[in-house]
Amino acid sequence: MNSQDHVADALSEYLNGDLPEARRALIQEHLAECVECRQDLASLRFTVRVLGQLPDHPAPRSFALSERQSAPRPFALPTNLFWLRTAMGAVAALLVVVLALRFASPSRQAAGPNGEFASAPTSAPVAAVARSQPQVASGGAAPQNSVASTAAQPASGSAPADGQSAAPAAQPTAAAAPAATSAPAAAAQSVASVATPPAPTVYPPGTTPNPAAAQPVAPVAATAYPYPAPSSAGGPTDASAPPNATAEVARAAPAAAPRASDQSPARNANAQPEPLLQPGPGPAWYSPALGLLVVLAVVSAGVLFLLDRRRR
Amino acid sequence: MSSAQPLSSSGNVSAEERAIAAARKGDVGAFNQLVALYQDLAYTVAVRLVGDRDTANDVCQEAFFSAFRNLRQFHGGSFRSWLLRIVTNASYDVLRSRKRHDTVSIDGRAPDDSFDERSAFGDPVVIPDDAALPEDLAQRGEFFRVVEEGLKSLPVEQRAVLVLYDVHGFSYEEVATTLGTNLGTVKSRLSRARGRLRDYLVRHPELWRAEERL
Repeated sequence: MNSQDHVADALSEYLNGDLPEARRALIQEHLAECVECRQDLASLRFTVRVLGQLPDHPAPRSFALSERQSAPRPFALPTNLFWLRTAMGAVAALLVVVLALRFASPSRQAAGPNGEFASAPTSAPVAAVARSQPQVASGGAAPQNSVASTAAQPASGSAPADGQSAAPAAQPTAAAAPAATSAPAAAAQSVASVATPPAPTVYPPGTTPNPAAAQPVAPVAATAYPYPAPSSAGGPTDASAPPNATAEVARAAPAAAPRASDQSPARNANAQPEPLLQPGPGPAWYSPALGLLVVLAVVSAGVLFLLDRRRR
Repeated sequence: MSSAQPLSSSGNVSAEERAIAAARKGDVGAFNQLVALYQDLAYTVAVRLVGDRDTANDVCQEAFFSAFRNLRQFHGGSFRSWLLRIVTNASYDVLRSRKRHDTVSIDGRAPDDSFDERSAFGDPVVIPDDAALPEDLAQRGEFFRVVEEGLKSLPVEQRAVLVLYDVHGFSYEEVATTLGTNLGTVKSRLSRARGRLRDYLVRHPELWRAEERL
């Protein structure tokens, strides 16, 4: 803005006498030298004079209120819809913000509002369930197995020497035989039962599956584990299993107890990687807030439309 | 209070205050005294804001209804400013509504700034300091009609300031209160409005060059 524009802007206030004395003196000094500004001032002065002489428009009628008109209305239509429109704009803006927050910030697994894991199942609970199910399916068989093997040993070891002790030993042996035969069947059943992944078990944070429950079934767990051993493609009864797989199973048996109590990081390594982020349901207030804002927006738009139509 | 005594606009503030107090309690007669005092002013402002008399009639009727219903919200100060604020807001609503349905802009038809009317000798036309209005009443009436057209060409915000300040003699503070704005905005809009109306009048030299129409 040059000095000419500056003076032109100030001429209106100069005409009103609103300028400080120092500024007024500067403008007077400029006017003495600038013909254009003097002409501008003259034209402005004439314009203001004309406006001051404009006649009023007398009211065509009396706007006095009658008694009926002054009675309170049961429902008065608002004359100014500005605030309604402003409120609508605010509601729309809030809706956009809530929607943006909802979709831009996915919830984490461990950050659920109630502390539970609400995500897809991981291998740890599945493995724990697999370990527990064989226990349930063949919980009787495993002890029977040990009983049978324990009973069979004295029976087999002392039969030639002690026929008297062999007879009672044979009874548990005979009793154990059906149990022994049923154990592999139970184990097979447990394998079949865990072939399909069970429903995930929800564990409160900070807890782990009870390792003691898995100890007795450690040998069976090795066979009932849903994920195949790294060196074995078949089941425990697969005669064609490679020798190293058999050796691995054999190693697994005496070392079952400490191994079962282990959290099995090797197994976790074989398990599917846990997804780091899962879209959760979001904070509990999202859905009600969204719903409320949508309702407010629709109602406001409807009211505004109806009022506008009635005012036309 | 007796509602038969008309209020005058010559500054009888105490009578006006009593009428306001009675109207706040529901005295329609007292309120109608205020209506009689300000209806010409309200109607004139409405005509100059909305541009036509029929719409101004509706605006004023609605404004007085609203004023009576909302009189409890008047907490003292200039009743004239408070009433005219209702009138201007109602006028703005009408213009906004009209803008949505018509093609005529409420911002007025901006004068062609590139237009440069010159005299027969090529000099730019200026309004001399001693320019006068036509003395003939008919010509004066025609002159005022042109001025009113010039007012319509202004943006409504500038038009409102010009009408209240230069036409009806409101102070800066009253204009700011009536329009709900601040003093700086009032002065700025007043300066721009005067300049634009002046430019409009320059394009009609036949109206104020009385000495050339002899």
